Amino acid sequence: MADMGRAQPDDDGGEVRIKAEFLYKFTAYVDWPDGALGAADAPFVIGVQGSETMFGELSQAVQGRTVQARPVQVRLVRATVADPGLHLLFLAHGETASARRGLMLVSEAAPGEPPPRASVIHFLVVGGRVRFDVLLDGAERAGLKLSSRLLSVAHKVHAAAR
Amino acid sequence: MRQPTDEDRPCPIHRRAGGAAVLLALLSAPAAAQDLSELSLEQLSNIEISSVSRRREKLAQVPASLYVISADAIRRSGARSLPEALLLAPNLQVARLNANQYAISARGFNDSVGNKLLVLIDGRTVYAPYFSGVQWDQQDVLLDDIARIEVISGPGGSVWGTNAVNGVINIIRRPAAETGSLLRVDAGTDERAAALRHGGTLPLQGHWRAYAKLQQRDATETEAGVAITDKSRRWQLGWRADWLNGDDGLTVQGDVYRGDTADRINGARNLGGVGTSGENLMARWTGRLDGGSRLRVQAYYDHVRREDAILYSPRFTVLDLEAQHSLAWGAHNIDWGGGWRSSRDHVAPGLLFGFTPERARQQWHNLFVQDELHLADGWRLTAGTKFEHNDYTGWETLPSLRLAWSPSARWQWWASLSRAVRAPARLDRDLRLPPKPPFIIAGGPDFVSEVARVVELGHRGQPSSTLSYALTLYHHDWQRLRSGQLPPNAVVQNMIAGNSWGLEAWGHWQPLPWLRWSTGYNRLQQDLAVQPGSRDPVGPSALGNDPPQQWQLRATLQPADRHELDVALRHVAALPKPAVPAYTVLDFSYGWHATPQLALTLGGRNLLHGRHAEANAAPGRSVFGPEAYAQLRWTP
Repeated sequence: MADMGRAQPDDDGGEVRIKAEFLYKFTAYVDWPDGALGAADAPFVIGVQGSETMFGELSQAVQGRTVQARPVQVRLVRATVADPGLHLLFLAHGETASARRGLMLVSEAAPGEPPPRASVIHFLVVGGRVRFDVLLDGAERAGLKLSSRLLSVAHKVHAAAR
Repeated sequence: MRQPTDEDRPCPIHRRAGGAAVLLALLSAPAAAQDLSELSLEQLSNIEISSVSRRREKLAQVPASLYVISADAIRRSGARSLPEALLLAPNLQVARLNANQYAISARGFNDSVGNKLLVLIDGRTVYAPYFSGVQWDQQDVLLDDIARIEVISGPGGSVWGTNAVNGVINIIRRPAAETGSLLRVDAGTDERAAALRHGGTLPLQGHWRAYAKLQQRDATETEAGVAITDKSRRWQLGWRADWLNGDDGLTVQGDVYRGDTADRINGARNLGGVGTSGENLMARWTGRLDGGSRLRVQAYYDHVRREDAILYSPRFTVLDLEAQHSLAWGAHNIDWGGGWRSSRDHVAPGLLFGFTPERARQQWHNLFVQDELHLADGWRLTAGTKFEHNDYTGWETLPSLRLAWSPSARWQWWASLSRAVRAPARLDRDLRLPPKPPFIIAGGPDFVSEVARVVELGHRGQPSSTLSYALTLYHHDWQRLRSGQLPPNAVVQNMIAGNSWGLEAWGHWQPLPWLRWSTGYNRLQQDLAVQPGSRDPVGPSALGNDPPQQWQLRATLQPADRHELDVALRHVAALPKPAVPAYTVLDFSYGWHATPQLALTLGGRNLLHGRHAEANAAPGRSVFGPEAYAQLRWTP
């Protein structure tokens, strides 16, 4: 795999960088179900599916930082191969993945398309700013508990069906 | 392909974060330059993505020749009208006829009665049913309300209807929650305008906005310097109320306008100007049903009047109801639905033309279904058909098959096969020249639909995050195109056929954070001929006057913080018949955001070439020369 260091600088006005920072920050406001994160010193694994740029940015963003006192790993993921070791999976435009207990799915908006049903958080660009919607349905299915602080900053919170 | 929905909405203005000194400092530095790890969630939500550098279009997934004109591109180009905004689409031919009228088409057949393009504003079809074309001097919106314009060249697919033979233009305005107060003033050498917009909230988490717009244009001149009587004045106002949650909810909106051009005096006779007016009212509801499927229902009323004592004076009322249901079922994404449209019109004769009968009532019904099937390994098959019934030819079938392959998020290949139809309009069957017998042209009682069988091959690529491009090759096989006969009593027939083919290409490249290049090219070849047995004296040139190629090159720059510059070079090759020389013009627009509430723009259009014509025959046609303008936008 070619060097996936910093992608071309300023390629999109910082949009990918901002999303990468959000991805890291979200982990401080989410509780994973018991046992989902593995042993106390097992790494926290973030998967990136469909965007080499995001993989590069996220790898940079997490350097030297921890998630819930664990070291952080970032992996580039292929759509057809489900990776059971992931705790958070970022889906670029048009990517989908199936829901799984203990897996936090974060997707991003393609114009005119609804968020994948299994998403927990969905990025959108609103007024030139990166915002995110929270889908409580997805969180419930994955067994994740979201802090009310996260919900209060969200652009929209989609209530769980019924 | 789904009906596109409104794009993501900006922060409603009443929720915009206040400007604390710290935040201001953060907001003014481009995101890419900051250390984001120090910011809180709220602060991260407030950083403005630097708009020049923002990757303009995500690689679109639609298996069609789609170009999206963003709101930002419209604003930066200094466009003052819908046709000026449409100049940004490389897959459209836009030819200005006079101060107020344009001929706009895609893939050929462009003239003032061009009928092969479907144009919608917020889902309301704006072509006039009596000739199946668009009167561009009657279509206007507050440009600052536009979220985006989607321009599809070629048959759009089963979701769109008849008349979408050469393309679909879908003008989408933002919801009321996204637009705030605005005062806009345009002052220029050739036209002036002022517009006001205001909005607020409604009970039950709704939002409303209302706008008013006033516009005045000077008369144009001929090559010899003789003034043409197209000086005009127009006002329009409109409103919108939304109760939306995400993309779903209820929208109700309407517009009203009236316009007039200078009186045309012929000796002692005053033939008046061209008076245009109209009102429309629309309601649309989109929602998710149990099970996750989506339903959209829409109804609108549109009443349009045009008074032209020289040509003819139509007025019509359209009522339209439609519904669309979208559901996912395994690997299938299915869209299906139908609609009903009714029109009642009265076409009063002018000096030159009349319609017989003067009044008519017509109805159209349609049913469509489309399935987008995700196959393995990035293959996607979209198959669909529309059945449309019109009073002249009964049921028409418009099948469409599209195959797309995306080996990765960066590349896509697509191919399509479609049958598209342009159903007869009153103009084809009922036109009489002159209004009373003996006739030179006597309509076409047996005129049937024009048919195109279309093959397209397209490719999109995004080799790096700073470079993207799209290419489309197309071939249209035309049957039963409109033809005439030798006068007197010439009857309109369907005896021209042939092929047209061509290439549409565009690309965007951002080599530096503050500089983005956009380029577009299109090439068209036509091989049409009158069929044996026809006595058509004019031939295929009566169907449209099209340049064999066009290109445009645009540079979008951010020379300094809060300054923007847009420079565009456009070339249109010579038009064959009537002969119009080729032209290359330069437009530029320089904007300065003096304060977060005040933006000033200075621009010039039609520079470099001197005066040029874009359509019609000399010596009576308008020519357009260099003009300058200034714009002020105040958003409190």
